[in-house]
Amino acid sequence: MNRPSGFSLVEMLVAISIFSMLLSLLMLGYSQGLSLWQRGQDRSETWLSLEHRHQLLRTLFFGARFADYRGRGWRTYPYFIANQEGIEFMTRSPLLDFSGRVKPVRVLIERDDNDQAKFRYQEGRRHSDQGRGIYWDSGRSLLFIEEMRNAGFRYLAPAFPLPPDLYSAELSDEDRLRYRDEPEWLSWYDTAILWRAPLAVELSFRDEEGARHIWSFQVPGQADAWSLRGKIKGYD
Amino acid sequence: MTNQSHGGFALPLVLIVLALLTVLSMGLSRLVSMDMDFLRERISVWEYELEISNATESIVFVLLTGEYGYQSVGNGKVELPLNGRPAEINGQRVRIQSWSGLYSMALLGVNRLEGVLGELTNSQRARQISAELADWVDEDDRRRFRGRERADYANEGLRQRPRNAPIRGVDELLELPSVSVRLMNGSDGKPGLADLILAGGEDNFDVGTAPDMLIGPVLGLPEPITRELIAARSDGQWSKVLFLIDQNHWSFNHHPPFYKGQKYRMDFQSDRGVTARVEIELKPYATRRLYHLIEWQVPYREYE
Repeated sequence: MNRPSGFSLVEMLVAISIFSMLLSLLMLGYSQGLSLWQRGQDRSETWLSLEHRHQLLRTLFFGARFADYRGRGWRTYPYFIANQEGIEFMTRSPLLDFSGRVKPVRVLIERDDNDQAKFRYQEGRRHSDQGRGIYWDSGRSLLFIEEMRNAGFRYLAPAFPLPPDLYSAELSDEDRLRYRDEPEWLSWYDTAILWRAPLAVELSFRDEEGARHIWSFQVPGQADAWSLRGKIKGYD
Repeated sequence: MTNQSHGGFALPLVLIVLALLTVLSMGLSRLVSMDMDFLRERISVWEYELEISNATESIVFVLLTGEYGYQSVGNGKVELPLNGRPAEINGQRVRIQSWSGLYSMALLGVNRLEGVLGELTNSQRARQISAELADWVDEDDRRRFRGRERADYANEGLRQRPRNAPIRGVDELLELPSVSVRLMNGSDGKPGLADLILAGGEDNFDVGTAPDMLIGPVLGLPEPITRELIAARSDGQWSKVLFLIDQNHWSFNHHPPFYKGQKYRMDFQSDRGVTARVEIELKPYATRRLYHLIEWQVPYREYE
């Protein structure tokens, strides 16, 4: 009895269904792989872009200048005004101007209602400072980080023990904020009150992927400035 | 068996797919390579910062524990010159300069600056810069010969205005119209204003570590005595140096003429020149940190 050559319909159907299953598994794996690769690529791009910005901010803070500028009344003090939403200070390393040109700069967190935040950087005009007046240059501004969440700054205030000839009870509420035996993290900073520059600045936020970042910047608390340090009692 | 020619499209299709895959892989590898370049650059910056940080710590250790000579400090194992001469520590080439050997504007004011400027530029320009700076820091509006006051800046359409108070830092010298970036950075092997002048500085002047070009102008000595003093200093005849200083009765804030102070500049160097500048203040009696950073420029960025 001659058996006909070729495949039966059932064999073909089985083969096609196995092939389809394999193909769909392959496509699923391929699509998952592609999506993972894309996520990895996005993540890496986000990380690299944030890392680049981190380096720029480090340069900005390392270049901070803390000369004693004339301030309120007769008092002079360094210029560093900050809260959780932003910072204003002087630096010799502005990002949008030549190196070595001391300028006021500010970094601001702009929030919307959903706690989404943007990080904006702005420079003041050349030749402006606390002593001669600060003028912000609206043209010299850039959006530094576009998508952030839970963003905030905090500042490490240095130890400033109460001088022995001062009594805490005799100080005003504002003056009392100045003195502390140990360094302390604060959510605000105003050198008009605290007199001394912070030891460090910390920025924490979540990026668009939800990853948490904590950036710490060391601030050189003193600079070569014609300073009143050592010339006013209790200033050092 | 017969030869059959297959006129199908499998081969061109495979070639097209291969070409597409090649283009795709080249694009991907280019993307990855750009990211890798950035990462490599970051890693090399971090490594360099770490090396500078380690070298700084080693120098601080010697500065805190070593025995000070007229021009150097050493702890038996390492000898570090403090007068800007090259040394090597942790494999890094470095020039350490005591701040006491530099020109402090707070200590010496503007008056002696003309002599220093005369070493860096021609005498006419030196006089002009000196007059501009004197008008910049004094409180009055009376213009000196060659100087500039508020009205002059306004008339010339310049944006800067005199501070009428001590300058806040050496960077501010760039606001004077006669001070160029070249003069600030130095050129042709000469140091710049940024290398010699400090706004605050130390409250003494160290004759041991000062650069030659500062000795005459700062001590206000006549040229022959200056030459004699510099020659005695380079020959290590310290009793003669002391004698010459005593003869001219120079002292600042009652410090002895070889007092080193607590502040130091370290210029790390490679064949390309200064690659990092670190300035520190020693705090030998502090309970927390034994030194504070005053300047951390790693890598070093010149004035532009």
